[in-house]
Amino acid sequence: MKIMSRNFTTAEKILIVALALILVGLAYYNFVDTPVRQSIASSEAETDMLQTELDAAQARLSYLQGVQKNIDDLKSQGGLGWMGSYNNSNVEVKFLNDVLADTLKYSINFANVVRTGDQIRRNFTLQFTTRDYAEAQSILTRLLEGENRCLVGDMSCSIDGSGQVSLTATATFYETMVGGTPDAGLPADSAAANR
Amino acid sequence: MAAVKKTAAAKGKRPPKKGLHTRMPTKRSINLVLIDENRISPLKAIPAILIIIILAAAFSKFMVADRLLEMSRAQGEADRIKTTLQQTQEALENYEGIEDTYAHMTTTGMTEEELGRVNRVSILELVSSILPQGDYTRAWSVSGNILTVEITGRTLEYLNELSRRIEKSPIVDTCAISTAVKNEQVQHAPNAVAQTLVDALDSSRRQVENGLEDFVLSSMINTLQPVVSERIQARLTIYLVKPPEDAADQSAEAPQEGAPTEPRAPQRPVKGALAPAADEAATQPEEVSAP
Repeated sequence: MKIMSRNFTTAEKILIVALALILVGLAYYNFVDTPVRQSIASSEAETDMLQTELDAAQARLSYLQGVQKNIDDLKSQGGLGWMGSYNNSNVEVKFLNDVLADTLKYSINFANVVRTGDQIRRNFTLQFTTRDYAEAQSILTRLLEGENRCLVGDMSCSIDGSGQVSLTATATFYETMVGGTPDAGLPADSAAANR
Repeated sequence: MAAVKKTAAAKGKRPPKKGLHTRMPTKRSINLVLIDENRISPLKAIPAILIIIILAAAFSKFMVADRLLEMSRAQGEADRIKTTLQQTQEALENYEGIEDTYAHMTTTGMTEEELGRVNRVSILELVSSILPQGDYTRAWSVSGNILTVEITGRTLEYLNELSRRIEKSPIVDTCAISTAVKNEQVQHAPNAVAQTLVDALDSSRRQVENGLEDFVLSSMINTLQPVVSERIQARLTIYLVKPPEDAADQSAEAPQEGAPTEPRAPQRPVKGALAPAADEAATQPEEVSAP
């Protein structure tokens, strides 16, 4: 290499090579390394964020799939019935009226509503008399397998000499606060009070 | 040049004739600088070029291409997760409103006692199956998962056999005779049985041909007469249990919701053990325990 009618000295050559390497390094740093690093960091941050979001979405999906499966199971097995939203008392009283229409006599005594979290319990005592055992059995079956969730607790039955059946039962209608509208009759949440 | 001409004239040489011009090379300057021998030997150049190419290739591969590949991979991973997330969110849209539906069907808020109760319809069916077995069932009651049936039977042995049959029901864990009494009051029970039969027949009187009802009545009373002389008033205590499939159904709960534990049946005695005698029956005469 000859410029200005003479060769570069070794020191000059080394210096030029060093400068060239520095220039290449700078260019690499500016135009390759920094953008690539920034892009990778940005992608990784986005990946982390998306992964967190995806984990949450997948967990929710898994939960909802479990919920769906349980609903399907409950539907196929009959379950315990549908809980109406609070306040469903009108529907329940109408239902009782329909169920007990054929009895010889009946008496219903509602206790105070009990709230535990979203669960509302409407306890009542039911007494009725029917002409025979089959009719009493039919009434209780309709009560238990009706549209509104109703569970019967203790019960007692006596059959008199004429075959008339008197049945006393404690029962509960279940409602939920999901979709319900609080009113003056809604008691305080006993679960919250215990916490 | 002037010095050269002068030297030629001085030596007597004629000057060149006019018009005759001999072209002589003239060189007015002399480059005394030596031309460099700057040829690069191929033996040195080729390896050097090869080394430079290898270095450049290595640099391009490891410092540029691989980094770009790494960047592309990172972006691809982000895109992949983004696509999966979109698919998951689309799938989630299909389950919209399902939680509200489940809230109306769930058994989450119910107590173990409520979930552990034996289906009352099954109890009614069980009692219904007992009624014709006993000669005279006066009353029954259910408290928790314990069914108590007041029954009148011919003999204690007969009632014991009845309790063994009851135990075959899937909702019965064990059945025991808690009290068994034979007394004056019981002796009158057949009359009540007969009266019940008469009442039953009376209601269907119009459907029975004339004459036949009397025959049926007398036949029944005659049949019952030898039996009523030995009557045992007993109380059967039946410990109910939830069938395994029912218990499994009730315990099905959604994940993450703190599903309730599987319902447990209340404590009950070992199968075949005697049931505790009821307080009110303890005063009856000739009270015997089940064998």
